[in-house]
Amino acid sequence: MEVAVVGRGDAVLGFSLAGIRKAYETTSEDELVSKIDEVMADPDVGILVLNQPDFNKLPKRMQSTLTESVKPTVISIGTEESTEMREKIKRAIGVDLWK
Amino acid sequence: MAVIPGTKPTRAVLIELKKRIRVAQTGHELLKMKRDGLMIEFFEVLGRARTIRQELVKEFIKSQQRLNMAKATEGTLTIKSVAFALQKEPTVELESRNIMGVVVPKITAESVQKLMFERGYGIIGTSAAIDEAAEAYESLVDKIITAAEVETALIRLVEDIESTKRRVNALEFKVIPDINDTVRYIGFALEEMERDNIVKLKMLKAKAQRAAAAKAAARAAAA
Repeated sequence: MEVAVVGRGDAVLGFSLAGIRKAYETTSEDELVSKIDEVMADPDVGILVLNQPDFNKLPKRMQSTLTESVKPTVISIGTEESTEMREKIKRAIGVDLWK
Repeated sequence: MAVIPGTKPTRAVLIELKKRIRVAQTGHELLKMKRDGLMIEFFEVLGRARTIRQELVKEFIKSQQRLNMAKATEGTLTIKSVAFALQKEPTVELESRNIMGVVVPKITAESVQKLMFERGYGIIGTSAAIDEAAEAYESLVDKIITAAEVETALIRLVEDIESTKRRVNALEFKVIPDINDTVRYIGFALEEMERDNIVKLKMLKAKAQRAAAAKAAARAAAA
């Protein structure tokens, strides 16, 4: 299985340099959403990498489906923090354990 | 008192309910143990996820800096063309692992890190900045793969902890008390029925005695 990257502009370039073929560059938010849908439906993709700022801009509903998805596994990277995981832990355990 | 609606106060139902209490209590104990086990597992994974996240962010910043350097020296177009020339593609293997009934992914991948001449583009035509950027991104992808495994495991565990907790609480605070209340209600109802019966029998007996006495008196009068 492969790793896929979807993101705006330069975020994708570096990953293609690491040999990832499924690095899709998107320019608008709508394109981002449709591309993510497409990648999620692709059976060959094992891990989907997103940029944290992009992820935060997605519709809330999509954010939660992406976080819950196991196959492919979605991971968002960036210097900003993801609130999804934190909220989940807080709700399940009752205490904010993340940091 | 919350009696389960629609129960009939009979002895058969009572016996049935007493059986159900036993089942519910064993289930409750087991689920409590499962919850505690999941918690222990969760804390372990949480620690790992946090360190990996931090490393990931560090790696990400480094990679971006390197990429910017490469862009500054070579230009975006060159980097794109170099990327096209790349041969090997990172592949991952997705398996599933089981932690106390929670299916978590186990991702195995051969290291993405490559030697310079393995990458597939010419060494002479490109600058060191591109090599450095490629190397940084390769190690970033390695980190991403580990992080993906750990973070998904964490999310799965959290979800399962939540549902297990709900079930434990539902059993402890709703199901078991409800059954207990219903058992008590049936017990009262049966007792009440018994008292009713005794009174009824006494009345019948008194009536029969009165009738017998009247008959005897009538016979005595006739004699």
